[in-house]
Amino acid sequence: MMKMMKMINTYYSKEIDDLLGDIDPKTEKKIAFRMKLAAKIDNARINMGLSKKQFAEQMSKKPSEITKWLSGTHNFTSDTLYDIQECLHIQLIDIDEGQTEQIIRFLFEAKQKENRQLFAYSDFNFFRRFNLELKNDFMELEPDIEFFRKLCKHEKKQEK
Amino acid sequence: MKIKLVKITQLSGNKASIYTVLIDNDNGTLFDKFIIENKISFKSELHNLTVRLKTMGQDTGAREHFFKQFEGNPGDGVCALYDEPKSHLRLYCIRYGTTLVIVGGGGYKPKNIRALQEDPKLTAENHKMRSISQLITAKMSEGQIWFTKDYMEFDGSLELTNEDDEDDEND
Repeated sequence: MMKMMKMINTYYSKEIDDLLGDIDPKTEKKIAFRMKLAAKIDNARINMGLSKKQFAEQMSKKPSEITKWLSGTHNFTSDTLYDIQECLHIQLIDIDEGQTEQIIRFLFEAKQKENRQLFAYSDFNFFRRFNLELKNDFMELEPDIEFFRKLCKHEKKQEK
Repeated sequence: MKIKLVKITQLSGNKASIYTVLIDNDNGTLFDKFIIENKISFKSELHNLTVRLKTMGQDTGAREHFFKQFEGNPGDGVCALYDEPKSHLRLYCIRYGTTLVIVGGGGYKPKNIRALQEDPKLTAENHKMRSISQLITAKMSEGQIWFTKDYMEFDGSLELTNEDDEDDEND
């Protein structure tokens, strides 16, 4: 038999606070990244309807190896990640330069060119190529983009 | 044994609630004691364990594969964090699905032992978690403690005493 009492059940631990305050943020992100990666792989495995054993067979690995992968502590090689991508039809490594990266690179290069007063027509075509509307978030990214926006408009008028 | 289940605010999130246990109105929880016992020798492992619990709470949930399963009696949910080849510490937990974990204590697992029974400290910590799991199960069957609808929290009376222990002491 047990006795019971009603009470508040949240707890703030100074020991945990001290530990968390002491962790290098990069290390913390790395630990979390490994766990999220394992979770993504496991979700894809489940979505494919594969048991752990079937997944191991398809990957030509032992089930104990899969257990290690899914523990969220494993440091994968790029080859293994590639093989998992192929098996589960998911993307784990993005090696293509994304649109945001291209914009940042363009702005950086444009800024360098601006200093030398050299502009290429291809620079202005960049925005058209990606069908970009120059939104406020990009304005925040680089205020000088307003200058390029005006030039783009000017170019368009000339084309007409 | 009188225990109180408490939800750790710094580690819990919208994916899982991380609880620990206060025993017999002691200062500090089982997890606090585990930290204090190991923070000199195994600080980086403690960092790792704490961040893992925080990530479960806030991002991933307490997925089955993040734990070493079947460390207790059949069906009692007692498991361990974690089983990496280079790790020295073993932290015992009770897992209730992906949304609720009770973190207990643990200790140093020497490399020369395979089973927890070979180490008295680990055995004691493990058996403590088995008893806690048993107590919670009993209280649930009596309808005095239950899960919230989203299975994210315990509800009801989270302080419980095992009167059998008291009877044993009085004998």
